[in-house]
Amino acid sequence: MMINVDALKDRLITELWLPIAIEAGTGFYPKLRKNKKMRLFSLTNDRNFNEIVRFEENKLTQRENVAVWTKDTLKRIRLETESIDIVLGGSPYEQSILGNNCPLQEHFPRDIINLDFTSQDPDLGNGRIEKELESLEKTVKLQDQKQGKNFLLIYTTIIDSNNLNKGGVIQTSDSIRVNGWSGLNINNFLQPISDESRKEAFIAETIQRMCQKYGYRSSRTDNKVVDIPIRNEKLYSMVGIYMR
Amino acid sequence: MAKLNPNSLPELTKSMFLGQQKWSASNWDDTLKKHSRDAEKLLNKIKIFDLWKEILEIKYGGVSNELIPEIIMDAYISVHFACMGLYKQANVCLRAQLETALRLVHFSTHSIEFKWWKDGIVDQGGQEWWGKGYDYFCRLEEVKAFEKASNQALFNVVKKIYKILSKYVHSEVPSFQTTQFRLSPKYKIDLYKKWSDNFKEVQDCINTLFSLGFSVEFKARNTNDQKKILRIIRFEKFKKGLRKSLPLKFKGRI
Repeated sequence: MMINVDALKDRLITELWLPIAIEAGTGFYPKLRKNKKMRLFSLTNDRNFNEIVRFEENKLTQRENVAVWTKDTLKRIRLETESIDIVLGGSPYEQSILGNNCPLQEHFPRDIINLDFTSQDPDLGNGRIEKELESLEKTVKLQDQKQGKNFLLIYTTIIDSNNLNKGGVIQTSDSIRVNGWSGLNINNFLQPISDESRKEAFIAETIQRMCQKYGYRSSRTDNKVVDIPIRNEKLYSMVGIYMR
Repeated sequence: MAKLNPNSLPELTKSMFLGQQKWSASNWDDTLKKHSRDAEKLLNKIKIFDLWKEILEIKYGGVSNELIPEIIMDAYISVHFACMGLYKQANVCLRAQLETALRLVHFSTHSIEFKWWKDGIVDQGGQEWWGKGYDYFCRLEEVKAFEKASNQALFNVVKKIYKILSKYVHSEVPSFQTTQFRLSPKYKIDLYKKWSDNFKEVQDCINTLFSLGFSVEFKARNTNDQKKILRIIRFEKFKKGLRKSLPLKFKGRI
C-alpha cells in the first residue's frame, strides 16, 4: 500500500532539517557568508520539494548545486522544469544505488545527503527499511570513494507494524568488507525487532555505525518522530553532521 | 537569464509566439475541463513503463535503459500534443512509441543489430529490422501459445492500429490538421476521443507484447506487479490469453 506524507514534510524541514543544516553550513564553510553553495542531493518528488526551496531561502544552496532523485519518470520530467541542475531517477533509489551503473557516481561527493524515502511513494511491506539502510550504506560508501569529507546526512522513513530484521541488516552490511572494520556489532537488540521505539533506536545506531565504518564521526545528531494522522504508522527522521 | 520581451521580437516571430501561447493555453483548458479524468488514466498507463524498466534492467538493461525512456516520452508527448489540440502530432507520437516497443523486443535478443541500428551503419531500405510484416514476432513460441489460448491474433490488432497511425504520419486526408474553415489547432471532442482510443489500444498492444516477449522476466515478478501490468490491458481476451498461455498462477479477476 502506498502512503503519502508530503504534508508532514514541511514540519520536518522547519523543526529538524533546516536548523541542523544551517549549523552544518556554518561549520563546513565558515568563510562563505553570502551563500554556502552546499552541494545538495535529495530524494524528493514533484509534489513537495520544499527542502530545496527552504535551503535556498536560507542561503545554504542554489539550484545549480542541487541533484535530486525521484522514482517515477513522469515526476522526473516535471522536476526538470524547476531549473534543478541534475534530475535523476525513474527507478527506486534503493535498487539503483545497489546496481553497477548507478548514474549517481559522477555527482558525488555532496555536502547534504537527504535520503527521504517517504518522498518516493514507498510500498509498505516486509524488508523495506532493511533495503533503505542497505542503500544508505552504499551512499555513504560512494561519498567515501569520492573523497567526501564533511556532510550532513538526513534519513527519513515510515515506521510501520512490520518487524525489522536486525540480523539481515547486519549480515548485509558486514558482507561489504572494509579494511580494519570488525562489523556493525550491534548486539543490544532482539531479533526481529517489533517494538516501535526499539526500531528507531536500532536505525539510529545502525546509521551511526555505518558512517563510522567509512571513517566518518558524528559531531551532532538529532531525530524526530511524527504521528501520521488517521494511521498507525509514524514518520521517523534522523539528521547527523558527519566529519572526518 | 534575462526575461524575454515579446515586443522586441521580429514581426512574424512575435505574431507566432503570441498566437501559439493563446491557442495552446485555451486548448489545454478546454481539453482538461472535459477530459481531465481520462488524461489522468492515460498518464497512469504510462507509469507502467517504469515497472518494465525495472523488470528488464538486469538482463536487458543495455537496450531497455535506452529505449524505455523514449517509449515513455513518446506517450507523454502524445498526451501533451493532444491536450494542445495537436491531434495529428499526438497520433504520430503513438506510432513512434509502438515502433520503439517492437524494436525493444527484437533488439533485446539481437544486441549486434541494436548496435548497428544505433550507429546507423546499415541501410535497411525502409524495411524494419525484424523483416517483413510481423513474422518474426508471430514465430515466437509465447506469441503462438497466446494466440492459441486467447483465440486472438495479436498482430492483426497491431497491424490495424499501426495502419491507422500511419495515416497521420503520411498526412492522408482524414488525418489532416487543418480544415477549410480553420487552420490553427483547436480542441475537438471527436478528435480527442479518437486519439484517446488509439492511445489505449497502443498501450494494450505494447503491454501484451512485452508480457510475451519478456515472459521469463514477467513471470518471475510477484503477483502484485503482474496484476499491475495486466490492469493496463483493457481487452479481457488478451488478459485471459496471457494468464492461460504463460501461465500466471494467481486466481480471481484482475
